[in-house]
Order: sequence, then C-alpha cells, then structure tokens
Amino acid sequence: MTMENVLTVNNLKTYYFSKNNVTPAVDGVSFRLLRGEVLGIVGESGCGKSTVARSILDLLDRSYAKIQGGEILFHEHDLLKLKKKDLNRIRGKKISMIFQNPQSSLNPVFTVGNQIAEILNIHERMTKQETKARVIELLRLVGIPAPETRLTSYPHQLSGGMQQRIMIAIALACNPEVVIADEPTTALDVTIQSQILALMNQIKTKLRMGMLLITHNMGVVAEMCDRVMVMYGGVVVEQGETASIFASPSHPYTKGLLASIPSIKEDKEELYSIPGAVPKLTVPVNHCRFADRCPHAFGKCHESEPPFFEVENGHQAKCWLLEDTAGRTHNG
Amino acid sequence: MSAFIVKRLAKALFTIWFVLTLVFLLTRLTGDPTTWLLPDDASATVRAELRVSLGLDRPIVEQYTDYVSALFTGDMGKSYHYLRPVGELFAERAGPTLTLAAISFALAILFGVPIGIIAAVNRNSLLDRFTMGISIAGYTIPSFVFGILMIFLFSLQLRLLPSGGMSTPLHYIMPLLTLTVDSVANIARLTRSSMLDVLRQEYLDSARAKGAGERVVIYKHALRNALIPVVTVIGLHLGTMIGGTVVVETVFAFPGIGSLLVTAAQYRDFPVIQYGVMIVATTVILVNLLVDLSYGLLDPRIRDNF
Ligand SMILES: Nc1ncnc2c1ncn2[C@@H]1O[C@H](COP(=O)(O)OP(=O)(O)O)[C@@H](O)[C@H]1O
Ligand SMILES: [Mg+2]
Repeated sequence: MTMENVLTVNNLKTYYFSKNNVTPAVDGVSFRLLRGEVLGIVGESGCGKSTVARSILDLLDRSYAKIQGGEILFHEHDLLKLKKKDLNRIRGKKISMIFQNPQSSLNPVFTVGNQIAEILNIHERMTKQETKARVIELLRLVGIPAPETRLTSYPHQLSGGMQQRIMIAIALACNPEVVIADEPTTALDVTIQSQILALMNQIKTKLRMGMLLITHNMGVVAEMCDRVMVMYGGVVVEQGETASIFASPSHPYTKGLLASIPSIKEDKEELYSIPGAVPKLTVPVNHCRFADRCPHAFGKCHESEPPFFEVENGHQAKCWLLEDTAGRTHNG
Repeated sequence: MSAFIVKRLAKALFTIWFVLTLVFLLTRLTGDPTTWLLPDDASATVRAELRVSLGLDRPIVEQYTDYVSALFTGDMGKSYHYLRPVGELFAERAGPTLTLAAISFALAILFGVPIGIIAAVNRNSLLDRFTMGISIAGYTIPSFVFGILMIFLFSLQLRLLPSGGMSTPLHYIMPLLTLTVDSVANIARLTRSSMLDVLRQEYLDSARAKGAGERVVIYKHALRNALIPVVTVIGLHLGTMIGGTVVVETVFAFPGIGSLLVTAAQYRDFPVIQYGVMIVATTVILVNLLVDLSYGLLDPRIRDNF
C-alpha cells in the first residue's frame, strides 16, 4: 500500500446562513485520506460531520449553505474549482456516498436493479447484458439473497437493512477510490447494524478503497477505523491513529465520548453522558468551543481558541491543558 | 391487477346507476314540464293530455322501470321541447363541446405541469412569483367573470375576437381561455407544491452523488414522484371542466352540450337532462378510472395494493 493521499481537505469552512445568523457548521477542518485507509469522523449529532461529507460531493443546498473557504483535493484536483460536468465524472465513479437513511435515499418509484444500473450507465460503457450481470454481481457482493429476483423489487418491498445493502451496492458499483459513509448504520435496527458493519468491514478488506466513515459511535470507530478525527462544534478537536486515541485520549471531549461508549448493541445517542449540548455558535469564534461543557475549563479556554498540540506522533488535540506538556504544532 | 380493474369497473357502473337514478328522481321533483311546454293559457285538459302522452301520469316506479329498460335497448327517449330523439340532439352538439373540453384539458396539462415545474425549480425567483401571482388570480377569479371581461376587452373595445358563436377557429379562443385558465392555474400550483416537496427528498441527493446531471435529477427522479398527486387532480379537473363548459357556452353563446343542458333545464326537458347527465357522469367516471390505473403505473407502492 502506497502512502498516497487520495483525498486532502484543507481548512474547509462551510457556513449555514439564515436570516439573522451564520452557523459555522464546519469551521476550518483539514485532513488527509490515504489510499485504502478507513478514516473515522466521530462526534455528537450537530457537530458538522454531515456538512463535511456533503461539502466534498457538493451536496449542500446552495440557497443557505456556502463553502466559505478551503480546498478539497481529490488527488491534485480541487473539487471546489471543478465545473459541474467534471465533478459529475468524479461523483459516483471516484468518490461515492452511503447515506444515513436508506429508506429515504432510494427513489421509491424505480426498481432497485434500475437504481444500481443507473450509476453504471452514467459512468461505464456496458451493454445491457453486462450491466445486468454486474448488478447481480453487486447484489451478491452485498449479501442480497436471490439477486436475480431482487432486481425487480421496489425499495418499499425491502427491509431497512436490505435497502442499505442496495445503497452500498450503488456506492461500490464503479469501484470508487473513496467511499463516504455518513452514519450508515444509525437508522437501522441494532441487530442489522452489526450485520451492515460486518459487511462494510469485509468489503473494505476485499476492495481496498479509502473510506471516510462518519459515526457518533466510538464502538464503530474501534471496530472499523485506522485513524479517527473527533469533531466538535465545527472543528476537529483531536485526531490520530485509532489505537493511540483509544490508549491516550487527550481532549476532554474525546475522553467523554470514550467514557460513554455504548456497545454496538445499544447504539443510541441519548447514551452519551457528557452534560450539556452542542453549542449554537456564531462567527467568529474566539474561545474553545467545548469550554462551556468542559469540567477542566479555565480562564484561557474562554479567551482564545486552542491550536493543535502534538500528543504523540501523528496524534494531536486542541486543548489548552496540553500547552505545557505537548509540543505545539502549526495551526491545523 | 385484473381483480382491481374488475372491482373498479363494478364501482364505476354502480356510481353511474346511482347518478342516473338520482337525476331521474330530482328532475321529477322540479315540477311539471307542461308548465313551460305549453302556452300559459293552455287548458287543464290539454295539459293533462300532454302529461299522458309523455307518460308522466303514471306512477313514478313504473316510469323508472320503463326508463331503465329503455336504456338497455338503447332508447334514450325524445326531447319534450325539440320533439327529437335525444341521441340525435347530443350528436349534433357534441362536436363543439368535446373539441372545447379536449383542447382545454390538453392545454391545462401542457401548460400547467411545466409552469409548475419551472416555478418550483426556480423557487422564489421573479419568474416563480410572477407565474404564481397570475395563477392565484386565475384561480380566484370565477371563470364567467373572466369570460365577460374578455368579451368586454377583446370584442367590444378592441374588436379583435367574436363574442359568440362557433363558426371560425377565432370563435374558440375566448371560450378556450376561459375554460382553461382555472385548470392551468390549479395544475400549475399543485405541480409546484408537489415538486417543491419532492425537491427536498434525499433520494435526489443520492442521484446527484451517483454523478447524475441536474436534468436527470429533476426530470427523471423528481418529476416522476411529483406527478403522482398531480395526476389524481388532473382526473378530477375533467369533471370541473365539463361543468365549466356549461358556463362558458352560456357566456359565449356557444352551441354545445352545455347550452343544450341549460335550455333543457329551463324547459324541464327530462329526457335531455337525463341523457346529458348520463354522458357527463360516464365520461368523468371513466377518466377517473384511467387516472387511477395510471396512478398505479407511476407509483409502485400503490400497485402492490391492486
Ligand atoms: N439547513 C441548516 N441551516 C442552519 N443550520 C444547519 C442546517 N443544517 C445543519 N445545520 C447546523 O449545522 C451544524 C452541523 O450539522 P451536521 O453537519 O448535520 O451535523 P452532524 O452530521 O454532525 O450531525 C448543526 O449545528 C446544525 O444545527
Ligand atoms: Mg449527520
């Protein structure tokens, strides 16, 4: 495996504009995704994870969301500078996406076979027979029983787990280099969640594609991710190798998340025991975004936003508590 | 699927029978046709004789069974006023009305649906506000007022269009506009709101994430879903439209089925009224049957219940 960057995000800022305020949903996020690597983005609901994902594939509603700055490089191409037509050659073909809610992500009036075939028709030159054969192959890959007969099913005839398998089949159809999975199991029953995770685990080793796995569940991170970024209030507060983060979590927020890991069997957001809620922020922010909920906050936390401090090689956290013990890194 | 069709057909037949019976009874409640068919000074004996010859002296149940059994032989009766078989009268008048209703129905769909789509896709744009403003006006102004305003403007003031009759294509313009404006407005507004609803759906984002162009997203993924409620309402519109022809034909002195029915109502011309209602009811019911079937074609979730 080469250490090539497939996806590089630099200082991404995506804001939501409403009549009387601006929400910095993503406020200077940077990361790299290597070929074949699974990078987790973890954090509570509302911390900006989906906004990162949607920014990458330009799925934001332009009427109120704007990318204020930054770069999103796929290899060396900045996706933010691409023409719509060129972006459409990358969407689905090179970078694909699995959404949180399979039921609303499939079009109710087309058969699942048709919806898988669509992505092949957009990107691949295939005959009808080849397309059909590939669709069946994909259905088999994602563990749909009797794929030949399932082709003609409509989404409402399938269970949530089966629908998510279809979404995964669509995402894998063109052998993309990057799959963005935005909480792919959150909407599913607990028993189904572990099946889908097992499927994704199996596919990840089989197909060696890079994956950006968004979750609010540290248990999922432990099981799936090589590296992880912890997001809070629109910024990354801690990042590093999964093992390192689990061994020495350095941001109080990460510690809170780890202390409240729900087992995969009882994955519910309410289980998080960090008191307080994700703050409603307005720009510009000049304090630690977690300060209000942080048990260790002191004067400085309310006065200026911390930069990344190096904890170990490649493991960094944004917390003033680390200022004395850790090496300060260039702004991240 | 076929069980569904049989069930719907049976229901349609029942509805037609019900409407016929209702109209048969209601017409007879309106009073004595001889009041208008004979001069004011006609004697009571003459009136009684006419009633006998029209069969109106017999018990109502007998009249009803005669009426129904005649229907089965295809005998629709004779007009009291015109003294001619009603089938003939309608055949003469059907052409203009059908032309009017069919063109207007087609125009309503041809304009209403695209206007709604464009307004929704360009939501809150000037274009959206403009078309929706006009559409609300078209919807709230009663069509006869609109028709009279047009006569005033185009016939009396500008002298561009004839105000009544049907001898040239020009004669059709104002009746068509009057009849269509309501439905275009209504279909456009409905298409717009249905489309706006669908444009928020996540499956459009999954289509975009596949690399589908915006045209495909709108015209394949969104439109197909947005049309489901529109199609139902389009079916209902045919009924409104046929009702509308009655008004329009009266306003524009347009000799079609609508004006025939108005005259028939004035004269208590029972056979004409009954026949007219039968035709209208059958048409509306059949069109709605077709609509229901196409609804199932558009929406697989409905199809499962067939
Ligand atoms: N349409 C919107 N308008 C205004 N704010 C929004 C909108 N959508 C999301 N947000 C805000 O942006 C922040 C990040 O949202 P999101 O990216 O969906 O978070 P996550 O996926 O981590 O739950 C949240 O605080 C949310 O309130
Ligand atoms: Mg989310």
